[in-house]
Amino acid sequence: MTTTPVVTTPLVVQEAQGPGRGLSLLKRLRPSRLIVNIVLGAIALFWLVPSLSMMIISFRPAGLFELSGWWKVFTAPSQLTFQNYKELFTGGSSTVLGGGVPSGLAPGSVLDALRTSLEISIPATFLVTAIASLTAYSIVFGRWRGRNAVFLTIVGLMVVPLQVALIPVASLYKDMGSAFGWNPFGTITGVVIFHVAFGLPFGVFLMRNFYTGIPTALIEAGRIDGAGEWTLFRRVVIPLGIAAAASLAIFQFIWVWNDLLVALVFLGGDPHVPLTLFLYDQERTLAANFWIVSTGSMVSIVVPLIVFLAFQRHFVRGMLAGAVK
Amino acid sequence: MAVVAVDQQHGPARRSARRQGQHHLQSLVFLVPGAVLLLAIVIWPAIATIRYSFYNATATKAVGLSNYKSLFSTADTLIAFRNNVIWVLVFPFIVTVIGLVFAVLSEHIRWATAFKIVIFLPIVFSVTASSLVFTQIFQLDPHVGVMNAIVQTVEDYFHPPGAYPLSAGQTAASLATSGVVAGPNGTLESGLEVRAGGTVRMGLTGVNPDTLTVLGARPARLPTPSAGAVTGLVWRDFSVSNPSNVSGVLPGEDGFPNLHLALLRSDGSIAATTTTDAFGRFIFSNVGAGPFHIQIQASNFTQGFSGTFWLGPQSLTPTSSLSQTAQALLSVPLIDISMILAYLWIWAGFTMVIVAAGLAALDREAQEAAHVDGATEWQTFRRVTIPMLAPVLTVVFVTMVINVLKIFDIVVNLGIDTSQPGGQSSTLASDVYYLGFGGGVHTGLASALAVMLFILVLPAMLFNLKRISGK
Amino acid sequence: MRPTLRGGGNTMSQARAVLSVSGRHKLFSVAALAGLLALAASMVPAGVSTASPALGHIGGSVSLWAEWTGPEQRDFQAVLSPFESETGVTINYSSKGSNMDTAIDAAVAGGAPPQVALVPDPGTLLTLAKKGAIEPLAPVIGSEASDYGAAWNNLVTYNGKLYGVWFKGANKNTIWYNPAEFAMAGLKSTPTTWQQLLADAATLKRAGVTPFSLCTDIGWPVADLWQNVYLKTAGATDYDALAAHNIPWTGPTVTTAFDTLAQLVGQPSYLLGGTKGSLSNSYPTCADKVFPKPGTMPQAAMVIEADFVVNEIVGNSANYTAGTIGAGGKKCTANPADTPCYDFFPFPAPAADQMNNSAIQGSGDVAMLFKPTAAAKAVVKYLGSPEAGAIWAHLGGFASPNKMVPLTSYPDPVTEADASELQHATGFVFSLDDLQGSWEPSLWQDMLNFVKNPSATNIASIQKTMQAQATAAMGH
Repeated sequence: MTTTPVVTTPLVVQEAQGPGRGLSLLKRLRPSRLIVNIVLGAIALFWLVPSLSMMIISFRPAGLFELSGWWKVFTAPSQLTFQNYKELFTGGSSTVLGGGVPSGLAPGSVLDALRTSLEISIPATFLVTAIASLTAYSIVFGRWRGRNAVFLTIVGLMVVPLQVALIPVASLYKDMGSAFGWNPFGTITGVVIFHVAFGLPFGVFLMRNFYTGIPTALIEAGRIDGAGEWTLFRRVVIPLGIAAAASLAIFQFIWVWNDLLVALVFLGGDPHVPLTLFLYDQERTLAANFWIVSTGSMVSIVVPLIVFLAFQRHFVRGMLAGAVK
Repeated sequence: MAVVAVDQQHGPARRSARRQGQHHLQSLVFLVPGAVLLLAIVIWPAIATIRYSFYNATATKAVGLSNYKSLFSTADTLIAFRNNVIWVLVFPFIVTVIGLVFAVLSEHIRWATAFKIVIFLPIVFSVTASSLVFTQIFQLDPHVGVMNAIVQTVEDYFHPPGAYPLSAGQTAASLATSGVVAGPNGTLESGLEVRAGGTVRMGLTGVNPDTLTVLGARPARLPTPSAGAVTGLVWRDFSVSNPSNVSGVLPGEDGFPNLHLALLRSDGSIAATTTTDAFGRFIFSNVGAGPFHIQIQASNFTQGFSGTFWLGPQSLTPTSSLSQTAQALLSVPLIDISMILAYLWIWAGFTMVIVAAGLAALDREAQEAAHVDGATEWQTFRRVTIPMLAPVLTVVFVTMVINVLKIFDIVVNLGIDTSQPGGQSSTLASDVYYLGFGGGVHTGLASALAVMLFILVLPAMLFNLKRISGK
Repeated sequence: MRPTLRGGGNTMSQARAVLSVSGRHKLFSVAALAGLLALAASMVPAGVSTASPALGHIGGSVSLWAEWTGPEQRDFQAVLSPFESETGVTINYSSKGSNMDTAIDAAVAGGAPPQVALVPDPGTLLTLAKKGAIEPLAPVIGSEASDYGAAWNNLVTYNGKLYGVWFKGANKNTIWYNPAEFAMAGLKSTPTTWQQLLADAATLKRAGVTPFSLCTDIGWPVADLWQNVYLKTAGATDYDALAAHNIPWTGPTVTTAFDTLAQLVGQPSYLLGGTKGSLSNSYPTCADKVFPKPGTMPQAAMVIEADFVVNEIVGNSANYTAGTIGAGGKKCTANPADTPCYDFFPFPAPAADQMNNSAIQGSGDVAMLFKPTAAAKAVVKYLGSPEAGAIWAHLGGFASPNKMVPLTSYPDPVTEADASELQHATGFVFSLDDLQGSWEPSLWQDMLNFVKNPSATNIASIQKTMQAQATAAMGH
C-alpha cells in the first residue's frame, strides 16, 4: 500500500456530533430510508464479492481452482474443505505446497512467520507514531524560524518511492557496520528503521494537521506556568492527539504488515521471515498458485483486521481536527 | 534557585525571554529523531537518485542529460505518461464521489459500522492478493472469470451460438471440402446444382469429431434417392487412416447432425428448409423443378461469446489508424479501466471513512436552518452540506491525485506483461521499478524517470499544502 | 522473467515421503541419517560413486540463495540433503524468486551477500565478477570444468577466468505435442522440417484440432519462439553475433526469421483463441490446454515451450506417460482421466537449413561463490558434480548440462532424449533475450507487437525500433 497524505482541515467544530443529532432531520425521510437500505445493501453485497471469492477459494480443493469458477460452490457445497489451511499450517506431503513446512514455532513455520511479522510491525508502528508526533509538535508549537519550510520539505518527501532507497540504504547500513561495528543489514532492526523513516512524511503530515486544531493558547498558558516542552507534550498534546495517533497507527500497521519487498531485500537469509515472505515462498515460481495465496491472505488479514476493529472508533474521530473544548 | 533569583532581579521580561530560549531549544530537540531518520533513509537516497539520473545504465559513467533526452524521445515514456494522465483524470474524481455518496448514505442506516467494514476491508488485504483476485475476476475464459461469465450469459441469450461454432480465426469457407463452396455472408453452398430426384454429397472438415459425438452423430450414410425430392448427405470428410482422401465417404467419417439447410432456387430465394439427421442425411420433399443449390446456413456457425479481454491493451478510443505518437497519446487501453475498477474497490473505503468523519463533524445548525426555510433534502445537500464539506473533499481528492501519480503496485500486479516499459498499461512509477530492478536494469534511466516523477508530483503537493496552510 | 523447473514424476512420492520428515535443512537423528544415505545411494545410478573421496566432515553453515520456491524448492532441497548429511554442513536456503537481482545487489551493497547463489542470468554473474564480488571457480571445482561444453563455460568466463558452474539447464529447442491429438488427425510422425510443421498444422486444422496453444500473453515465450526460428534459419554463428549486437536488427537474417515465424503466427485459425486468445494465454495455462487435468479435454495439439513444461504436465495428472504409448501399453487417449501421453519433437529447421538442426537454444541456472569458506566451496563443488545433477534428474523436470550426468538418471526416454540434446548440442546458444541487459523488456514488447500484427510493414518498423533500442542499450 502506498502511503497517502491525509489532511484534516481544522473544521469549525463543536463536540463531535455523530449521527444521532442529524437523524432528527431524517425522520421525514422514512420512505426513502428503505430505498437507502436496499441500495446500500446491494452495494455491500457487490463489494463483498471479490473478498468472498478469495475466502471461498481458500476453502475449495486446490485442483478445482482452474477447472471451474468459485461460484460453483453454491451448487456443490460439499466442495468446501479445510485442506488448504491444514497444509499451510502443517506443511503436509501435498503436491500443491512447497518444501515441508515446519510446525509449531520452529523457524520457517507459519506461527513463527506471524510472530516475526508482529516483531516488525509493532515497533515500526509505535516508533512512527511517536516520532511523527514529536516532530509535528515541534513544527506546530515550536518557536523557531523556518517551521513551514521544514514541514513542506518533510511532506514533499512523500513522493520518494521506496524502491530507490533500497540499495543506497543497504550500503549505508554497511558503512554503519564499518564505522560503529553494527551493520543493521539482515536484521529486523534494519527493516524497522527503514519502515519508520518511510512512514514519517505521511505521519508528520497527519499529526501536524491535527495539532493545528489544538489552541496555541493552551500551550502558551502552560509555558507561562513554567512547564517544559516535554511536559506540555506529554500532558497536553498527547492526550488530545490520541485519536489522530490511533488513525496513523492503523495505516502504518497495515502497510508494514503487508510489506514484501523491504523484507525480501533486507532480511537476506534470515530463517525467521515475516508472513508475507513465508507466503511468497509457497508460491510457484512462474504463476501464482492462487489457492495458496487466498488461504495465506485469509490468515494474513486476521491481525490487521483486529487492529482496525480495535482502533476504528478512534479512527473515525481521529480524522476530525480539534474536538476540543 | 540561583537562576530564579537572578531573573527576579532582572524582571519579568528577561525571565520570559530566557524561558523562550529554553522552550525553543527543547522543541528543536524534538526534531532530532525524525530528522536523522529522514536524512539517512529518505533524503540521502533521493539525492543519490537525482545524481544517478545523469549516469549510464550501470551508474559508472556520467552521461549528462542523455537519459532525459531519451525519455522525451521514446514512445515508452509517452505511453506511461498518457496512462498516468488517464488515471489522474478518472480515478480521484470517481473515488471521491463514491466516498461521499457512501458516507452520506450510510448515515441513514443502522448498520453503518458493518457497512463501513465491508467497504474498508479491501485495504486490509495486500495489493498483491487483491490483484490476484481481480486477475481471476477478469479472466478471459468464461468458466473461470466472473465478469466474462456474466457477459456470456447475457450474450448467449441474445446471440445464441450455433451447433457448430467456428473457432477463433476460422472462417466458414475454410470448412468447405468436397462438393461445397463458400457462399455469401458466411454460408456454404453445394458446388453442383441438383434437381428433383437427385442426391448431393457435401463434405466438411475443420470440425472436431468430439463436437459431432456430443451432438449424437452416427457414421455417415448416403441417403437413398427419392423421386420428386432432393436428398443428400453432409458429412465430415476426414478419415484418420486416410487423411488425404477427399470426397469418398469412408468408414469412421461421421455425419453432421442438426445442421440447418436451405433449398435455394436459381434466383437465390429459399424454397424450403430442413435439418440433417444423426447420420448427416437430409431430404427436401416435393420440390418443384430445379435447378437447386443446397445452402448450409450461416447461423450454424455462429460463434459463442469468447470472452472480453478485460486485461488487454485494446484501445477504447479508435486510434488504430493514427501515427505511433498519436496512438501513444490518445489510446485508452481497456486494461486501464479494469485496473481503475480494481483500485476503486480497494480505496473507496478510505475516502468514505474520511468524508464520513468530516460529515460527523459538521455543524448541523446550518442544515436545520435551511430546512426551516423550506429547502428540500436534495437542495440542502447541494447548497449547504457540500460547500461545508468542500475542504475535506478537496483534501481527499488531491490526496488521491498524489497516490495515483505514484501508481505502481496494482499496475505491476494486475497485468504483468502490459505493465512492462512500453506496454500499454505502464506508468511512470512502474517504469522506474522495472528499469531499476526488473530484467533489464538501467539505473540511469530509472533514476531520470524517478526525478520526473518527483517533479510531476510537486505541483499537486504544493496545491494541497497551500490550501491547508491557508487555513 | 525467468522460468524454472518444477519437480514431478513417479519417484517423487517416494522422495517426498522420506524428505517431508526432514523439512528444510535440519539436523537428523543417526537412524534417519543412515536411512537418508541409503536412499541417496539408491537414487544415484550404479556406476557413479555416491561420494567423492574429498567429502568428509566439514561442518559449519552456508547461506545459499536461488530463485526456486514451492515445488522446485522441494526438489532442490532433495539435492542438498545428502550433501548436508555427509559433510555436516547446514545449508540455509533462501528463495528470492524473481527479485533475485535486487536482493543480490542490495546484499552486496549491504556487505552481507550469501555465500553461494544460483542465478538464471549469466549477465548478473558477469556484472558481479566485474565488481569483484564473486570468486573465480577454477581452483574450487578443478576438473569438473571440463564436464561442461565450451559454450556453457564461455558464458560465465570473465577476463579469462571461470566464475560460474552450471547446475540446471533448460532445453528450449522443443515442441511438445499431445500424441492423441496427432492421432486424431492421422499424423503418424512428427515434422522434421518447418514446412512439414506448417503442413501438419493444416492437417490438424482440417481434422478440427487447433494446432497451437501459444503462450504469448507476455513477452519472453514469444522471444524464445522467435529465437528458435532465428537459430534454425540463420545458424549459431549469426545468433551469437546478433546477441552481441555485432550484426544489426535491421539485417536480412532478422527479416527472414520474422517472415518465417509470420507463416505460423499470422494464421489466427492455427492458434487457440486466435490472436486475441494467444495474447491472453498465459503460461502455464497455455500448456494446460494441450495437457489438461482430468475433467477437461485438450483444446490444442502443440505447445511450443522449453522442457520445464514437463513439470506442469506431470503436475496436472499422474496419468500422463512420456512417449507415444499410454500407461499399461494402451493407446494414448485424449481424455486425461484415461491414458494420456506427452512427447516432444525438436524445433524443426526449414528444409533449406537442415544443417542448423543440431543448434540448440537453451538457458540454465549457474552457481557462483561469494565467500570462499571451506563449506561454501564444498557446496559449489558438489553442485558441479554429476551426483548432484543426477538426484534432481531422477526426480524429473530437470535437465543437466553436465556431460557426466548419466542419461540413465532420467526417469523416462523422453526426458532422456531432451537432456541428451542439451548435453550434445554442437551449436549451443543461450537464450538471447537474457543477454540483452537493459533493453530486454523492450525486446519483449516488440515481440508482442509482432504477434499482434505480423504484417510485412509492421515487421520492418519493429526491426527499426529494435535496432535503435539495442544500440542505445549496448552502446554500439
